[in-house]
Order: sequence, then C-alpha cells, then structure tokens
Amino acid sequence: MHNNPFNLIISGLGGQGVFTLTKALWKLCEMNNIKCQSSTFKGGAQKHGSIYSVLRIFIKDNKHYDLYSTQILEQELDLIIGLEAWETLRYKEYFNEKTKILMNHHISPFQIERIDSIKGKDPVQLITDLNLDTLIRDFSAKSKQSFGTTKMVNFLLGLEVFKIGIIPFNTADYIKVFEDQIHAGRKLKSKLMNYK
Amino acid sequence: MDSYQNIMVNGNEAVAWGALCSNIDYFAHYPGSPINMVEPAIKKLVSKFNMNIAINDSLNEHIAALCAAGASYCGARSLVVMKHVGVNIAADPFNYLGYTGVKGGMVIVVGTDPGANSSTGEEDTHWYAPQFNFPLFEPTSVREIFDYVVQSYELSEKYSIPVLIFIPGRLCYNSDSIQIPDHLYGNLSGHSSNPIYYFKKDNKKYINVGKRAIQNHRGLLERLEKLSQNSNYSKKYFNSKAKSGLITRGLTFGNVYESVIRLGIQQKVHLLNLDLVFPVNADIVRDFVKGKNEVTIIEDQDGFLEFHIKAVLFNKTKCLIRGKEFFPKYGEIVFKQVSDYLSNLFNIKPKKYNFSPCENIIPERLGTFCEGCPHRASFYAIERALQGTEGVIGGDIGCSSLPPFRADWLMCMNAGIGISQGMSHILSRQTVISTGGESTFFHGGIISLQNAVLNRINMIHIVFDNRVIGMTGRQASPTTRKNVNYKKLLKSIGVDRLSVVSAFKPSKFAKVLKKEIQQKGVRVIWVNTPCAQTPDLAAKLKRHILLPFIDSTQCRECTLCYDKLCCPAIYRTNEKNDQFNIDTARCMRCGTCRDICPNNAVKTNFAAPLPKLVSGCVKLIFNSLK
Repeated sequence: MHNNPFNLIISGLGGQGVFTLTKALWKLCEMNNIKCQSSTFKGGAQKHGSIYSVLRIFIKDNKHYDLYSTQILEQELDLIIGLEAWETLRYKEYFNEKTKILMNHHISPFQIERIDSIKGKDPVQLITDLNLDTLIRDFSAKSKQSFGTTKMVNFLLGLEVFKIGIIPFNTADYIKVFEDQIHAGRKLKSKLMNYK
Repeated sequence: MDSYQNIMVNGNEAVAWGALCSNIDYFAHYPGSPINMVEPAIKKLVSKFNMNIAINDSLNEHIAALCAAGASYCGARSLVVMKHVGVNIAADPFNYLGYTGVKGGMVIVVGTDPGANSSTGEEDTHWYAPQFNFPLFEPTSVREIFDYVVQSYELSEKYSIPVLIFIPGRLCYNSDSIQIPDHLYGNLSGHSSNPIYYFKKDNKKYINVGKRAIQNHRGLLERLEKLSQNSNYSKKYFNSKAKSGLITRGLTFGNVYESVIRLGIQQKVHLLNLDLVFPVNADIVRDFVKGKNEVTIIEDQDGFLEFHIKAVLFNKTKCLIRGKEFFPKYGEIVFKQVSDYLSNLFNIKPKKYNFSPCENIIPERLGTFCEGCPHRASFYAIERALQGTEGVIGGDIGCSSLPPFRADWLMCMNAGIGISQGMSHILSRQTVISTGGESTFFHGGIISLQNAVLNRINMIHIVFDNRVIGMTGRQASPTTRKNVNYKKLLKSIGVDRLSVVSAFKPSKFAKVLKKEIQQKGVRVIWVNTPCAQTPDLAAKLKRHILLPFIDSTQCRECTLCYDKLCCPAIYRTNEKNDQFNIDTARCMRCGTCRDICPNNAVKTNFAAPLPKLVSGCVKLIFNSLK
C-alpha cells in the first residue's frame, strides 16, 4: 500500500530565506520523529535567481522514506509556500485541484530582461484565477510591522502552516528552531522569541 | 551493538563526515557546484573537533588530484573533491594513478549535474571510470553517501586503487539524518595528533615507462577484476520471480522504487539497483536476468550502465535488455517519465486530475549580477569601448558569465582567453576582447597568457579580480589576501602592456580599453575591484554614509543606467513614463550609475546626521579590525 508523503514546495528568490524556512521545517520534522526528505535548488546566481526547495514529509509511513524519490510527481503537490508570486506560479505543473497555496503578496521584476515578455500580466491574479485553496497576504508589511524588517516573511509564512494545521507541530518549537537557523542580531532574535 | 550519533546533514556534509570519520589526513579540492559545500563542511568539522588535517585549497583539479596522490603514496588517507567537468582537468593524473596504485586510501568525490542545474553542461563523466579503471560508486541517498565514503577507503586500501564516488546535484543538496556508529564518531576527536608518514621508494611502482607501464596496467586490471568478483554492492526489491526486471543506478532508483509502489506492481517486477556502477559485477547481473523475459535499465544521461550490462550479457541470455529506447540521453530523468513508462508497460491508466494549470509560460530568471557587482560595470565599459564596432567579447566561467548575453560565448574554464587567442590570431577586422575572473586566470589562464606571449599573439585579456571565487560560495582566491604581486608576475612572463583599472569608473575603463585596442602585443587590463558580496571597509563605509538618488529635474531619461547598465537597484518610479530612482535598500553605493550618467542626475546625500554617521563609522572600523 502506498502512503503518499505530504509534498511541499517552498519557492522564492535568492536572499528571501527559502533555505532557512526549509531547514527549520525539516528540523522540526526530525524533532517530532517524522521523516522528511528535503532538497534545495539554488542555480548559479548569487542573487535574484529562482530558488526552490522540495520537502516530502512522511507523516504516515516512516519506514522506507529514504528509498522514495527525491522528486515530486507532477500534479501531486499538497502545498506551496511562495515568497514571490511569479516563483509560485512557476511550479503550476505540480498543482492539482487539492493543492493549497500560501503566498506572500510580492511581485519581483525579472531583473535582466527589462524588456518584459510578461508585461501587463498580474501573477497574483493568475494564481487567484486557478480557484485553488489559496491564502495570499502581504506578509512583507506584516514582517516590517512586527520585526522592523521584511526579512522575516519566511518565518511568518511558516507560522501560517501551523495555524492552518497542515502539519501538526507546536508553534513554540517552530519559533525556537527558526531562531537557531537565522544569523540575526540580538534585537531581532528577542522579537522573534517574544512573537505571539 | 555499537550505539550511534544521529546527525542532520546534506549530501555535501555527508561527504565531509564520512571522510573525517574515516581518518583522512589530506583533503584537496577545487570548488564547483553542486559539490562546493564539502570544503566549508570539512573546515567547520576540523575546527570543531580540533583535528589535524592537511587542507589543500587547490588552484585547479589537476593539482588537487596530484597532491592527494602524493599524500596517499606516503600512506595518508586522502580525499579529492571536484565537479564533473573538473574530472576533465584531472584526467591526466587519474589515467595513471591506477598504474602506481595507492598506499593510503584515496577517494575522489565528484558532483555530477544531469540537467545542468548549476553548470554549463551535463557531461556524462561515467565514461571516465573504465578509462581510469577506478571503481565507481553512485549512492542513492544521503545516508549511502556517508556509508560509501567510509567503505571506499577500505576498498581503496585493500585493492590499492583510488575509488570514485559520483553524487548528482539533486542528492548533493538533499538533506537527511544519518546515524554514525560511535566507533567512527570517535575518530573525530581522536584525530589531533599528526601521524608520521613515510614515502617508500619503489621504482617498479612509481616510474612507469615501457614494459613497466604495461606490467602495472595489467596489475591494475587484475586488481579491478578481483574487486568486481568479490564485491556485492547492490540492492534488490520486489518479486524475484517476476518476468520483468528493472535495473537502476543513482537517483533514478528512488523514482523507480516509488513508481512501482504507487502503481501497485510489486508482484510484477523485480528491481535491482547497482551501487557499484563500475565495474559491473557480472554474476549479479547474470543471476538477476535469469528467468526474466525483459529487463529495462533506467538511468540518467548516456546509458553507461546499459552499455556495460549488455556487454556482460552478450550471447549469454535470451532476455530482452532495453533502456535508452524509452528514456532520453539528455536532461535529468524525471519522476513522471518513469511513472509513465511503467504505466504503459503494465497497461495501467494514469490517475486523472480535474485541474489544468494556466498556460502562461513563466520566463526563466536567467542569472544576473548582484547590485554593486564589479562585473556589471566592467561589461558596461567593454560594451562602450566596442560600441559601433563588430567587436567580440570572449566569455569565461564564473560570476562574470551570469547574465548569459554580455559575452559572446560561455563554455568552460579558460574558454575566454583560449578561444579569444585563436580568434585574435586570425581575425583582422574584428577586435577581440578576452575576459575571465582571477580564479580562472590562476586555474589555467596564466598558462594561456604565457602561450600568447610565446606565440607573439596580439591580444587583449581582461582579468576581473574580485578577490574571491564568487560563484561557488566565495572561497579564497590567490588575491584574497593580497599576497600575489600580479604586476611583477605579468611582467615576468613577458606581457607587453598592463593597465590597472577600477570597475566602478567605467568611463575611465572604456578610455583605457580604447587606447589598448590601438596597441600591439599581449595586453592585460587588470580590473581590481572587490566582489559586492565581500565588500572591503571602504565599500562598507560608503554604504553607511551615502544615500544616492536620481534628481528628476536633471534626468533626461536616456535610460543608460536602467537599460544598458541594468542595475537591479534602479527602478522606474512609474511604469507609464521613464522616471527612475534608486532603491537605497538594494544599492551598494558602488557609484557606477553616477559615473555613467551623462546628465549628472545621480546625486548623493548623507544618510544621517553627522554625529550618527561618525559613531556608525567608528563601529564599522572597529568591527573590521576585530
């Protein structure tokens, strides 16, 4: 009997914290004795490049998780956490009618094209038009308001996963694990630890 | 039973743990994605456990291979790490290390890249294994990476042969927890003393020529044959009596294993994964195909395993052996291809979804330069100097190649100076400007430059010295610690003219270049400007003090800064017109836009009141001294 793992993609751009969130979720799985395969892809660019990670969380079946594929089969994605709109839409081939989309309302221009082949198109609207279970919020503004920086969007998106109850973890554990992952000043870490 | 330590690692880190737990004494590498994180992981562990390991941050893969061999000849266990294309560079010594054999175990870890996710190509390096006559492992999981690194040292010493381990990019960045038995974990803290090694002279082994070389070649083949017969590094799953067989290697194993389970065909197939990909153990393969009607070999790239399995089974089975008839030789084999193939083979209807994604094609975010990257400014200067001509720009590997349109080709290490040299030799109407970073210059470019001097070739080579190996994680290059006198170096090899410029003054840079184009001989322009990701103190202070902006009253919307320089920190204030400004959160204060603006529209203010600026500067200086 095949127990499909929970398939999750985290997407964004270089510097947005895709890897930090990935590592935090992965560590949380390990802490809870839930096996998880996680792969990250960063390409060649230091900044502004597409970044994504794949997490396959074996909530039901832990035994042979490392024999499974490191890839997700097309149309088998359960959840995508998007830190940027175009980078969320990039993985649409993996969506099915039950895929949940959790996304920051942020659109980053295609830096080097300048002559934009997708001019006039709104990726947020395109995602909304898919009619999937979608939560799109301006997490950048919320991050700025709560932490004084937009760099905590990844943290807030991760927190939302637990609020929705998709993965059954303790929020306090998540905050602690996340704090371990980031290289931030004392001030920001203290704000994080006191975050409610 | 041995207890163990549970640690969480990615594929790169698993290599480091495996090697250090195996008591290595020597580590040599040349950084290259996807295997670029082994070096920092080793250095971190060496520092954490206070280990005494000789580390060689080699200038290229050839020297890394030879250095590790030298250590191994003296009895030390050595690790060499490089990416797939690096094996081309190291191939020369690898061709003969099998002849000499090794004393201390020698393991060569190679990051492969089917799908070219972090490389300029997806060369199938597997074919080197039979050329070198080295055994080759291909792990299927992070845990296996650790296990096979450990086992490879034992194997290497037992058969006196270097062992190859190939890890595809996807697995290099895959993370998992691994269990390290205490007896191996204990090696980490027990490795503080420096053992005394000795090189035992042996002309028969180490001097290979004529009959001796043939004798040693024969010895190598015999050792390899013995290793093949005595080893069973494979795993089998599902129904051994099934008439259909599947054979895999590396990451295709996971795709096949999961597809079989998803489709519920466990009773209909028998799956064999070969962890030791070369040499193929003939007994295992013959035994596997016995009683089967058909076997499909599913693997990435050229069909290396299929070739060798067919050779082993030639005229020895009636079983139908297939592979590349169904799977492409290019790109990475994706899960869907495997799942679709097995669905067709067993007439299973694929799962239907009531969803079709929108048809918009999302453009690739092609690589670009960071804000404040000196390469951006340099290419702007080169393009200005060549404006209106049919000038050619020779491109090289590294960050300078990131936007794949600034140079005229992108191929391999030193392709900038090499191809440009050939072109300069024969072109009369077109100016050729060769480019490359300082890392590629020291990797092999310096020899090409010496070659240009020797052959009296009229050429211009530009060295982008950003003082780090930027693309692979900002490892140190020879100019990082400013201990290379490149002026003396270039003079001593006979370069005719040398100019030193700053990338952030593109107007001056373009003038210098125009002047050099008129000259003859071997001319070098050394662009001495640090990487934006490793700014020096002056750059940090500028960022703290200055607040640049575009004065809309002086901007004439020429769009040079936006369309030609393409700095990501410059943005349109309104999509409908050509009004621009600078995003100060992104801007690195390099000043390039100010230098190129023909209307003096880029201005700067102080970022804060003077006392606050002063205290901030003091803090920055103090931190840099620490």
